[in-house]
Amino acid sequence: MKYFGGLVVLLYGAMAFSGWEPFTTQERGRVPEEARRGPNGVFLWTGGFHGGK
Amino acid sequence: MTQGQCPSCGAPVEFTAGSAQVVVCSYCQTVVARKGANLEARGRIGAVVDTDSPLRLGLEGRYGKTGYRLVGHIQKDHGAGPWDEWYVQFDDERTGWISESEGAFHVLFDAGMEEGLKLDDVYPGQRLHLRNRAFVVEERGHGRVVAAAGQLPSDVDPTQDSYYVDATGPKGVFATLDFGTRTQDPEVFLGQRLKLEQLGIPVDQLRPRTKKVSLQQARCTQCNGALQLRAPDQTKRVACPFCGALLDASQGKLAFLQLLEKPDHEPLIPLGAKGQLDGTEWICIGFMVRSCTVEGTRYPWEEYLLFHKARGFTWLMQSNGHWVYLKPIDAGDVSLVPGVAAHYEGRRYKAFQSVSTVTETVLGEFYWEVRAGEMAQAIEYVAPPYSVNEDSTSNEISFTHGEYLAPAVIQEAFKLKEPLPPPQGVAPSQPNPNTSVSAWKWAGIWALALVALYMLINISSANVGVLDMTVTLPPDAVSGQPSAIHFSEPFQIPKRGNVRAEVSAPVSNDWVGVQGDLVNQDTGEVTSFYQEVSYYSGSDSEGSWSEGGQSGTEYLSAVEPGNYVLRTTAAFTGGVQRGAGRSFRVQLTSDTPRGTWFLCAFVMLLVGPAFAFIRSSSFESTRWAESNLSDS
Repeated sequence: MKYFGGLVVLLYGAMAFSGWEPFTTQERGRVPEEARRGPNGVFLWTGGFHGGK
Repeated sequence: MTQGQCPSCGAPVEFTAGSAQVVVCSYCQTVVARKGANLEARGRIGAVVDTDSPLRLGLEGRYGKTGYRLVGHIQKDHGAGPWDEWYVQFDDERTGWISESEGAFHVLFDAGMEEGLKLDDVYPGQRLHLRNRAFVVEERGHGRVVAAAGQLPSDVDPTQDSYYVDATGPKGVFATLDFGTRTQDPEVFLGQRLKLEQLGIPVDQLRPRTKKVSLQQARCTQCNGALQLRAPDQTKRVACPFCGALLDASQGKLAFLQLLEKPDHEPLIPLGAKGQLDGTEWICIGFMVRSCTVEGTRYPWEEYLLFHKARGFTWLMQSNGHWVYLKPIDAGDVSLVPGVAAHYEGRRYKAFQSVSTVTETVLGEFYWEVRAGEMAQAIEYVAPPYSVNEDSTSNEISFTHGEYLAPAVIQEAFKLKEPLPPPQGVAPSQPNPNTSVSAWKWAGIWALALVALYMLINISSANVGVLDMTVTLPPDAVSGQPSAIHFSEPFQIPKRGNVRAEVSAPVSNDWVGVQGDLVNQDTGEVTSFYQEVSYYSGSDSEGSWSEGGQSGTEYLSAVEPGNYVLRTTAAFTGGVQRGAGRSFRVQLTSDTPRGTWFLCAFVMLLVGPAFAFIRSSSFESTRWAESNLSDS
């Protein structure tokens, strides 16, 4: 318990500070090349990368 | 008068102690009594015999701040060898007695009669209150004065058997109830148990201890086997290791008593073996097998008698490979709630078992009149690794304090070549190897650290809402199609951290799915998630029901700080018309602390202690399953 408890606290601290979410359904990618920027300079696209479900 | 002549032989006799009423003529052993101005012969008494007592008549000592002198000496016997008692005259005119028992000394003062107390009503283990002090009766015995010397407070009659009761109180307080030849109204003597060095007698004045040289290299009277006695001065019984004959050694020579059945195996610690325990080098002088029978099953155990010249006797007990080191303690130091618990030196010992025991076989030397078939009642109280053990017969009760020892300790202490048998099962006083105390301690320490860390994380987290938007789908929105896509206004995530995405929608017997794409406008990185909200309700024969909810939450791993836009794509059932008027709300919170992970970590910290607790409880269950006094 002496070491196991330390490991648990360490893991919790590492998770909390890194912001890692182990059970998220998220997907990561990049905006597709053909995405254009809108009037406000934001990316606007309706195709290409669709993450998540 | 203080001086005169022996009426029997004419030798000079002298009374130096004012309280003395008789003096024993050192020439003819006549008991001479004062009668007015004259001296009167009262018959003869035996001459004292050599014992191992270090005291002698005329010795002067100091008890507390008061000097004293040994002026009289009697020897009593009840058939198992004499013991010594000394009449003491103090400088302050008080008188008292010093009695000897197994190497200990008791200084006793007359405390008057205890009227109404009957001998038949006193039994070993009984609690008595004498002169406002609590005592426990340890022994009820009898003996005759067989020899005397010097001055005595009253006449002695070697033909009369007199009865006594010895009792002990806390911290060495001692009491003797002298019934004499009466059956009630004993004379009470109160005092203290002392070691020889506490008697205040200069060492050079002490008499060298007499060795029973004739017994040191004796031979068995039955088989002529050579017997080497290690404690001849205190040995009362010898069991011949060659033929099993039990011999009486109390009278200075060996006399056959009975033939015993020899043990079916050799002692694990050979007789004569020396071993270092408790800072003392002990020699093993006796071995006995005792047993109890419970529901038709015999449970044997072994006891090894250890001897050290200065510390006296102690025991090692071996049962099923488990060893317990036993030290004699005064009954008066033990507080008992019979059958429930014992208290000794501030520790509570829980009652474990009470059994009737029988001594089956003996080997070697013993300081009491041991015999095969001897019955006793044994009660064990435990507070692992310690125990308090009560052994009682109809005339005597004795207590020992036990400490559990691993076989390896015995092996090492006595340098035994043969490996000792491994322990079987769980012993009553065996320490629990699975104790959860350490696990709880560390779990507590780390839990505190975890709480501190959690608080630190909460304080340092931004935990800020970065987006709160409500999207209402256009009438022509088609599920999953560009018409159902919506872009948020740009917003900023100020600090690296996770993101909590909460999606809610006023759905009823319907569902809506929201695909969220969190787009970093600076880098083009997209973090996508999908959250479906569905809520259905109704009623049937069993009543109303509902399932799902109108909101859901998704957590995203850490994203870098920067400017973001959230693109949402709605999914729903049906075609164009089904999307009309639909709305949903999305809230994003950046760098939010996760209580869930804190709780998970907390639970994980409890796993170790819980596991240790289960193992510990299992061990205790096994231990107490063997108890016949536990109510659990």
